[in-house]
Amino acid sequence: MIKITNLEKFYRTEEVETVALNKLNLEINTGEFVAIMGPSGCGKSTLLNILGLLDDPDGGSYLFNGTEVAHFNERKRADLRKHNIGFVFQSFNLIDELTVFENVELPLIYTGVNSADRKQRVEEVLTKMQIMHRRNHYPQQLSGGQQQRVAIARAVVNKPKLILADEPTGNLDSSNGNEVMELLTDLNEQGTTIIMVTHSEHDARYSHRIVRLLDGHTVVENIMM
Amino acid sequence: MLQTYLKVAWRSLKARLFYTSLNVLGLALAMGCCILLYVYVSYQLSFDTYHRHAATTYRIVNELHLDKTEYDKGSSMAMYLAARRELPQVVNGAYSTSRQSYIVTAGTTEKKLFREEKNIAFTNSKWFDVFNYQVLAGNVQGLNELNTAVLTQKQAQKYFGNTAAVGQYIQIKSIPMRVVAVVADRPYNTDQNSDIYLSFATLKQVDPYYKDFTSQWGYISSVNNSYLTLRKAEDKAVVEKMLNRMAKPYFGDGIKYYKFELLPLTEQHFDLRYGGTTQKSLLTVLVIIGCLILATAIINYINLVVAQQARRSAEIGTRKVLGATAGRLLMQFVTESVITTTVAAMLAMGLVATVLPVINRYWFSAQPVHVSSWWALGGFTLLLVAVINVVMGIYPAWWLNRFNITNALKKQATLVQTGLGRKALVILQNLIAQLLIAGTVIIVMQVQFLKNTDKGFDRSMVVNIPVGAATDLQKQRLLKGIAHMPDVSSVSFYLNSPATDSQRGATLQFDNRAKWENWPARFAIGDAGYAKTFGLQIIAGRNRDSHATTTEFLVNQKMARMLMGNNWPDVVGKKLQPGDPKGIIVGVVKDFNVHSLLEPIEPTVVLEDKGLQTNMAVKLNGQHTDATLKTLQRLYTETLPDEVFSYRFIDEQIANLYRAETLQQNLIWGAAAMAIVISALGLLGLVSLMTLQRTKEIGVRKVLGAGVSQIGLMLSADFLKLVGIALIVAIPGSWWLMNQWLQNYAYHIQIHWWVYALTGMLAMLIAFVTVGFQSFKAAMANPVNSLRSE
Repeated sequence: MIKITNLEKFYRTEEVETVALNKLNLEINTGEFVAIMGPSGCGKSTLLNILGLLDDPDGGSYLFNGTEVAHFNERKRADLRKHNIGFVFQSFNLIDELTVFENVELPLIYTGVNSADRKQRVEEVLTKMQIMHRRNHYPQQLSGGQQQRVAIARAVVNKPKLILADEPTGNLDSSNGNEVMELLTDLNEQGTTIIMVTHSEHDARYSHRIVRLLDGHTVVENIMM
Repeated sequence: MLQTYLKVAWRSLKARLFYTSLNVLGLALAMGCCILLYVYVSYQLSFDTYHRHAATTYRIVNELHLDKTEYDKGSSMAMYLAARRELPQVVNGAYSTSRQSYIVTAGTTEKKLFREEKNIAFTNSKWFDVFNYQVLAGNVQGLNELNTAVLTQKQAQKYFGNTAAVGQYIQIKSIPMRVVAVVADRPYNTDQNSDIYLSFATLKQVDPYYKDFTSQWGYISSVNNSYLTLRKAEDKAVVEKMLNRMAKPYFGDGIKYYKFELLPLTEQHFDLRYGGTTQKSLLTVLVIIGCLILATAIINYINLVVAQQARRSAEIGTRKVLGATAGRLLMQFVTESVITTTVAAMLAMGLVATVLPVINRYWFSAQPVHVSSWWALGGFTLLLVAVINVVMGIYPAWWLNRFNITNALKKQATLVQTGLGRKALVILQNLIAQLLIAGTVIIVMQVQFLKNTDKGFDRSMVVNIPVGAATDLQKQRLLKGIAHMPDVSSVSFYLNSPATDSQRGATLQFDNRAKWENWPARFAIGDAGYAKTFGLQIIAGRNRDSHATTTEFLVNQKMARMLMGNNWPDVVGKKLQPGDPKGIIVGVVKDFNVHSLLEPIEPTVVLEDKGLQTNMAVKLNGQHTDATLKTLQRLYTETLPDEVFSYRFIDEQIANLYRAETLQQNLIWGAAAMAIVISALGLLGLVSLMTLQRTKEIGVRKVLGAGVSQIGLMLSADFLKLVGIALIVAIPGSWWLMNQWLQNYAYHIQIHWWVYALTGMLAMLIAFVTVGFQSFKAAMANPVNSLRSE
């Protein structure tokens, strides 16, 4: 599904150029659950942003389902993103002014799904995430675990082929964290490819494969059994 | 989709109620201001534009080029008649002699006397053809007959109550005039000022002075109004040329001093040279002020949007990740600003409806302002909302365009410098407020100066009482009666007091010089008591003698100098012929102003003209004023049974000269107050956001030992610095602008340094009060809470 070759990304300030990704090579197949680990500043988030088409690389190639997307313009990237990729963030990034239902509905609005279908799909996914009873609440009224479940519901409502999760349990206690990991595992079992950045060895164990980054290089790939 | 926008916008506005309220309030005040200014400006621009052929109707006026050019809105009837008769370009026209004052006798059963001041005109039915009047009863054609009258509805009611006025009689100087028609009251937006129209044929009977009137080309007076309707506007130049050519045979050599011109009817209201009352430049200044105030409110809005950018960037980032396009996101911002401005516009309309009657009562009492068209006003408000939204949408559009999702999600957008742009906006806003504050202080001082400065005379406790056509005998009886009143210090029968808006004047011949002087002198017309009553100071020679057998004159020092230079005291005893009368100069008085202080002192002759002395000035000593006025009234009614007693202090009369300045003062005062309030609202919003964003910093500083006052001052200082910078820019700008304005006045104040010290202190004080409260509140918060909330 994803094949990156010699991917490069630099950050420049007036005086220094920092290399975030240094000729990185990585291949991820459809249906995989991959954890990306490494110390702070090793380029995990940069990689995730590039994979999610939120940022573009300075060099190298990025094939998404066989298409070169490294130099897509903003509009094309947005289009590819909204139909194929779901995002889960450490800080949930729910919109405060929208209810649970409306937050989950948002991606469907942006992809132009009609209102009746939207209602049905949002309800389906909320039920699946066991958060249906909170549909009319606002994010501030929910616990952290509930908020992350809403965020996951929002990430999957468009039935994306790929979910990118950036430390999804980072703001949660262990029992809520485990619940979230179970949810991601379920989604993976149903066929969704998942790439997750994490600091937690515990969470990484849910994945099939751990990619360890150090200074923008792939260091080790552990295959989990 | 629209529904979603509205819903989200509404919730987001509600969630930030404090900032939303500041924005709505600021915008409502600014829009209210703009709407009021629009009402005022559009009202002024509507004057006399609604007459049938307003675009092709002109008033005949003239310029008289002597040493100094004089402008006269009057014209002779002879010229008017010739133009009507001989010029094919002239398709219609009307003539009147207006601003006449008489005692009118009227009533149904019991006859009553009414003093009518300057609201009587002599004309014919053509007048109602050129100008739009609604005829309510009778037929205005009747006005072409002898001894007839047309009344406005208000006037008819005043004379005859609810009885039909048509067919009734009014009397002037015992001449009965039949009312032939009643017309609707004149609208608010007209410079026509008559309520009683008498048939032109009657003029000679009422006032024999006008007997050769229709044939005298030289009889040009500002009360004579000639209007010509031309075939088309392009004919104006030709007709002007023809008028000057036609006048030539009648003026002889004198024609070289005259230039006859046509003043468009629609320009009459704005041409101060010809009696217009409103400067177009004032309207321009008001439009600029309106724009500045609006800019202040828009700056508030943009500043608050920018300041909340950090908080919003995470939301916008998320939306972008989920697939929102920049266009859709912009719509979200625009929906919010549309809701804000719509609510503000409704509040503004309410504000205008409440405030307009109040300012009409206190500011515009002399000339109340009216909404000329509610439709146009509604359209203007919509346009205002649209313009504001476009301007307010520019920033978010720019911001969204260069938006970086990854930074936004890391909440780094705050680091996209909060600084320069916002600081510049705050400075600009304060600059506007300070310019207006300084302007207000200076204009108030100048208006006070104008109203209270007497150049060479003393107005205090002088009362003007019109005596109309009182005979010499009646005047003697009044004088005799007043001689017994202990609280009257002097009396004079006169025409015009010092500092008035109308004077007579003429060129003159001095001593034995063969040639007449090439400059005109002004006349102060009054009897020998004039100098004492108005406190003129005699600096050479003596006052005139009331029993003198020859004609005696006083001249002012300026005139004496113009005649004899440094030997000016020697004019005493020399012969003088100002216009018709010949006599001797007996004294020189210190310079005094015959005009308002807008104009410099002019050469002036104080002389007697019994026929014109229709007023009585009484100088009181300030004791038992009410009782004295009552005694005067009794004496007056006994002596002058055909007149109506009324009085007015000269003081008020002089204040009236500066009506335009007083109005400017009020307008700028209001504008300054608005600008201050709006910029204070903006500062309040900003400082509260700043302190919110710096909560953690404040907490850390407190933990490290900073005191409340140190933190409060630190937070306030940032803003006070900006106010200070604005002041530095405001001082030279305002000094230059206000000096330009002061140049309009021959006599004006000097701008002192303390005006700006005061402005600066005021601006600082307002900023400190606004900012200080929030700052110290933040500084006093418990650091444990602020650190935890992060």
